[in-house]
Amino acid sequence: SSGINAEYGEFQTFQHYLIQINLRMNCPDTFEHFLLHGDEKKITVVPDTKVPNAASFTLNKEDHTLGNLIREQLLHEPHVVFAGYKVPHPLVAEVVIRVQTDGEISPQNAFSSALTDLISEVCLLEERYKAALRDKRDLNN
Amino acid sequence: MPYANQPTLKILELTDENIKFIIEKTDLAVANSLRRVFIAEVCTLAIDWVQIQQNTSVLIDEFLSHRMGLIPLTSDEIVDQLQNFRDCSCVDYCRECSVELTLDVRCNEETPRHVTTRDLISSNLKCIPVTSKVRDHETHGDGSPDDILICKLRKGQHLKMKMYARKGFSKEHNKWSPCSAVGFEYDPDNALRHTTYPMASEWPKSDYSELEEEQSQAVYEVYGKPEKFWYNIESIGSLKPENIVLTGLQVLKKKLMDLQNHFNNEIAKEALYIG
Repeated sequence: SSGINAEYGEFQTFQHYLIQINLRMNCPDTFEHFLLHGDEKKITVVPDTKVPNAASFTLNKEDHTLGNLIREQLLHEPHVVFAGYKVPHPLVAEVVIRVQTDGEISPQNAFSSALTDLISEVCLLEERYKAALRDKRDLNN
Repeated sequence: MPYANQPTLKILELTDENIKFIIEKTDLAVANSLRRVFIAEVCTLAIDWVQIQQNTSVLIDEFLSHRMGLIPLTSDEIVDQLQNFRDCSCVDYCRECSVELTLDVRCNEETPRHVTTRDLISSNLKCIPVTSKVRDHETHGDGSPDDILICKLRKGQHLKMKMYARKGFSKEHNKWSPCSAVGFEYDPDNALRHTTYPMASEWPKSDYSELEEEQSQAVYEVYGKPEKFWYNIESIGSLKPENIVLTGLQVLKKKLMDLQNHFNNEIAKEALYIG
């Protein structure tokens, strides 16, 4: 393999350098879908200025897997008047979840209890799966 | 807690390649998120770094590297023991975060030599190509060993490379996906009318249909909601199907818990600013 070019670093010619620049600009790395870089925040809370008791939660490096999940659980929570989510742009791994409550609890509390409920649901599912697996194995044996 | 669903799970069928199960009393979003996690976020092992030392075959280096990446490697025992490549304290690759594999084949006979996954030598016997799991005297059913063909060499051609396999998941590259297919079904008789058939009688009935012979669709349930979900997870061989489901559930739990931690920190920080 050729050595390091004095002018363009690892690229052999200016043309190679340009091609690489273009490739890198048009095609982001796939790890951008999930890797949170040093200065980025995972979750940002922005209270809504136009209506009372509403806030938007921006989840960074997430997709419909969590967005839809949390939104649906929020709709089960009491005192939640509005819950919706969107992925603002398909090329950017971000989810915005908007929550509005009737005032009894804050949107942050609703979001927090939705997360707790989801965690307990998945834990229960895991337990029941392990039990079902054990029963199936005993049946097979 | 009182507003959380209490889902039930029943396993219908469990084989070496497939697992069929039903989840009931939960939401469509939960079922779909699980499906997405099974496909995209369960970790397996796959070759991610290839150094080609000799390649006089007819296929170019990049072509061969791409093929090596797609080879399924047994990941059941080892994927939990390996560290994440990005978190590991080493500079490039080490024993803690990766498995080294080598391939060194030279064709010396007149007849073309097929380079297959049987020629791949792994430094860790827990991580071998899935097709090599079957021992030499056993076969894959039709009498011939099913090893994956990498390349064909003519007399005098030589292929030699060194590779590192690391763990990852399908969001980064599909070679890390443990599932070849995830069958997902709900409302087999279209009682919720989520699909609109121009002529329902044209369509074959689902395996889980509970309709009579003459009926083509169930009666419309206006206030119905999807509640029962049928899964059929087919594994590539890198992970056992029951492990795919178990790991998927754990991954979803971890995602939610990490998000909760970040959220609590964020709320605490805001409280500090206000106060």
